[in-house]
Amino acid sequence: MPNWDDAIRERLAELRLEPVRESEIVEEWSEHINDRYEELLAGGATENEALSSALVEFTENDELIRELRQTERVVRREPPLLAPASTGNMAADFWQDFRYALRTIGKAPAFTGICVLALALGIGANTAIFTVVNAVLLRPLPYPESEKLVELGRAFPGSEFGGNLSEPKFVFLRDHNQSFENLTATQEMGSNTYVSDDTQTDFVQGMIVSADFFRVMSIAPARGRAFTANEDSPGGDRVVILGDSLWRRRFGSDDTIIGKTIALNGNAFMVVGIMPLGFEYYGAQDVFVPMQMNPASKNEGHNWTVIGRLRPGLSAEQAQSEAALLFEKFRSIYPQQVQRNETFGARTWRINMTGSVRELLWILLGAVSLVLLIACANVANLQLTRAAARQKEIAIRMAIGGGSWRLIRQLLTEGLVLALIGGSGGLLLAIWGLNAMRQLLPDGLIPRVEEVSLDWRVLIFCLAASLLTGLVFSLAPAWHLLRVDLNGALKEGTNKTGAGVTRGRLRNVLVVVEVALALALTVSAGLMLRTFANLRGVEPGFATQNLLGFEISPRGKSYDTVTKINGLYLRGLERFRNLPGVEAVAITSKLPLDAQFNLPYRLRGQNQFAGAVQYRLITPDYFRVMKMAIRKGRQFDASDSRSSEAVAIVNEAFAKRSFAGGEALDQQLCIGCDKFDPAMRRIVGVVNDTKQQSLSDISPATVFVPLAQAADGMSGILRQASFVCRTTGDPLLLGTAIRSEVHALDPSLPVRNLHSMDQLVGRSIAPQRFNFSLLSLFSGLGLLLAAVGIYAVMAYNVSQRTHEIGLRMALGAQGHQVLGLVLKQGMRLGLTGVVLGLVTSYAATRLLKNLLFGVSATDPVTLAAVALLLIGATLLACYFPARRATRVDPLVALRHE
Amino acid sequence: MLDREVKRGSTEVLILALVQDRPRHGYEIAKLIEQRSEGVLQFHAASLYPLLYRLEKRGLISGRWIEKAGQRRRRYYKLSVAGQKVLAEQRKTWKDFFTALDRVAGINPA
Repeated sequence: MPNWDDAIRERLAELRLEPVRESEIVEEWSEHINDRYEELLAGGATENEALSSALVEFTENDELIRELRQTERVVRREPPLLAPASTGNMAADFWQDFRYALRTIGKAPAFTGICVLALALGIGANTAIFTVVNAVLLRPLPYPESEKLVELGRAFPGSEFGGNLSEPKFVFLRDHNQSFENLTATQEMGSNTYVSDDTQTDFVQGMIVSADFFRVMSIAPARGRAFTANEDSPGGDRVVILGDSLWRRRFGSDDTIIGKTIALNGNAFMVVGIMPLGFEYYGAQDVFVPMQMNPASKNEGHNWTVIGRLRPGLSAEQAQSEAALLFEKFRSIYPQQVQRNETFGARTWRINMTGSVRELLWILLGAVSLVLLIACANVANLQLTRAAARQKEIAIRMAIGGGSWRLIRQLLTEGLVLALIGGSGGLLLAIWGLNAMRQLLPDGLIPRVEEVSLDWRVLIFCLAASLLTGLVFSLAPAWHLLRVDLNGALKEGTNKTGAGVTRGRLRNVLVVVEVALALALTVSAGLMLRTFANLRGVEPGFATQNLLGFEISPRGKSYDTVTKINGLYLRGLERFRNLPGVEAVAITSKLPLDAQFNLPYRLRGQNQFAGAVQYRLITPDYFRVMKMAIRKGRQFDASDSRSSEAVAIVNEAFAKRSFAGGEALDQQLCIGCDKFDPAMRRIVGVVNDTKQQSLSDISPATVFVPLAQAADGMSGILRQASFVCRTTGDPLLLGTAIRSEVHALDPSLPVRNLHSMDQLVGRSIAPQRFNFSLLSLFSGLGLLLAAVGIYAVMAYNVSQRTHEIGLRMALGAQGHQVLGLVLKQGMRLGLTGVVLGLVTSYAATRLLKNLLFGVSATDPVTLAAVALLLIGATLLACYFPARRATRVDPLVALRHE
Repeated sequence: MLDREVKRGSTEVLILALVQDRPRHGYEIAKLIEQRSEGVLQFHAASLYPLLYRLEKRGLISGRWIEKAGQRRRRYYKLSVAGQKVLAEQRKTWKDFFTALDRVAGINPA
């Protein structure tokens, strides 16, 4: 049979088809032309006539090429690497390189798109987390010279500094210190604070502050004045300073309000000032009232946040030293007011405020940096692939005298342009991500979260991250360029040369690094998942399903005594008990997993307080409603009244703490006896422990007192009590019925904090859920990028080995053998990465140990599971290129170099 | 000779119909069209192969290399599932067209 191939190839040359495709078309048309040729011969044509007639249909027909051009995809040739020659002027050269880089990038949209996406994800995640780090940890507090503000509090060796001070301690520090210009004490007014008039009642946020507050914060009211020393004394006038927001929204920005009175918590207070717009102190406060503390106060409730402004030239450390000395002096004068290991601590206010999340935020920033590194490795790999396609051209350019530095400068410019485009995308992603994060962030997890916003530091970070990233991923092809062997590169079959081999090794190293980093990230996410799961499995000590809680916050003259409040509550109990769907109702002064409340206590026979424990006022049905277990003794009942013997029930933690294995029943204690309740109470029961602060903390020692025996001084605490209902069905369905019963009870009463206990439990583990969600997101991103990286390398390797694979198959290799060959190569890379990743994780996850619960940082189960996951992901990423390898047509492959 | 435009519009259905029964290679398809149309329709390479490749790209036919005993391998095309649907639609369209032609201009294809 005549050879038609050359003639067909010559015809197809102008289409510049991919070599494999061209070979296929040549083969197909060759057979067609041959059939025609033989038909013509059989019909009586001469050999020459048959030859030319058969060919002419294909080789003389412009329409064929025209039609084919539209049908077939044309191989894009890489644009030439070098821009026009240097102008000699650096700025002009850079501008030239920049424009050229834009053109080059624009000509390869798929390549550019993948790079930009990977970079945008990496840079965007980093920018988002840095924005939070910046606002919470780096930005100074929004007060003048805020670095001079120092918080003073109780400190115990070995535990986190923090903790409020009592009035006597505050007075002592204020009067004896040399380190501070001024010292102030503040306390929140409580959630029941309200402003009212004839028509409307608003619950507001309020702060009790000493007169020096404004000097310490270095902020004066925008209108009116601060408190005077007289107003801050016991028996001083009832005065109030309004927050700007309350003044605008409730008082219509009334300029004449200074000097007028408003009703605060049912009492008349005269307005003496309005704070400036935007002033915040632990959030936006609506009202400030003076402390009016007795300087000789013996009140040992540690409820005051104490902040001081340092004298010029002094540091927080110096203040700390002085505070420790002062504490010893205090201890020598008032030994009964201090605990054994207690001392004073002084720390910069900003550091103290944000200490709880410092570790978490730096960990998150570390995790997203890993994602960015993986993205960099990916893009570097893609750049190397592209460089491989341009290798011959690069070699030619260098051989004819194009300096390698010029080429490197161009590569770097291209890389920087790509990175800046990716960075811009990342900034948009960060903005979107921050908005999403604000919705999902659990309340109170991150202090200063209201200050999270983009500022110049964030923009600079984003720019720097983009530039650095661009430099880093351009280094690989640039460094490689310097080592190109010109002679080898200029020959045919370029990937068997040293250049091709080094580049292949570099790509493999990058892939191994990607897998290792992805594994480290996924292990972190896995540990968070186990922490979260462990927490969810913790027994809170009571049955959480079908339990509804709510408050009715009685206030005003109708409920100004314990007796009146109790009367209201008992009437409420009757109503709620009779609602359909309610099995039982009780009352407690504080729900578990809600805020806490503690009082000092003393056992009979002791002179000194033994410490402070949780204090709860409850109705007799409380333990039944909560499905808690009475371990010893009995519950409260109707006989435990105001006129009967004073009794108490304690939990197991209290019994262990106070009686260490001995019998708790019939022991006697008084709790809050310094200020609230002098009664010596007999312990009549021991109940199981319940969680209070959080599911991960140990259950605190708790003393329960019957509501009916609440002392007169307990009215404030009683007002914040919660009803708790055991329901037959979904507790939240009872909301409407509850509201109408409360309205029928007293139309002026609100229904507040209505929620199911399941919601409360959910809220308490919300921080761990948040940690897990974020780390999973980062690990998912890292995994995806690493998988894409492996896939890209394997796909490229397969395409480079087409000739070899074709040869093997022509010599008899089966499909599954080829599959195995490619998979083995890929898995070798993957497994190396997994091993490296395990070693890295073993070292790095120790950083997480404070965030974990119930699982160690080097938990072998988690490490093994994640290793298997990564191996599986690697297998999947290798499978598709491997499968494509088995479909290589040996004949086509052998013809194609 | 048939008008170029009419030919263009009908080539797709011709090819799809011919590969419906069994897979065929390009030369066979061209020869069958010529034979069954008694020379009225002739497809040269310029029309045939670009169209075959377009149909393959659209997923209406699928090509495979087949080597028969004693022969060199050839590329055979067969109808895909999507192609079956398109062929059925196009047959209906052409039928309706001829019915309309008959009603208006008395052109009976039978």
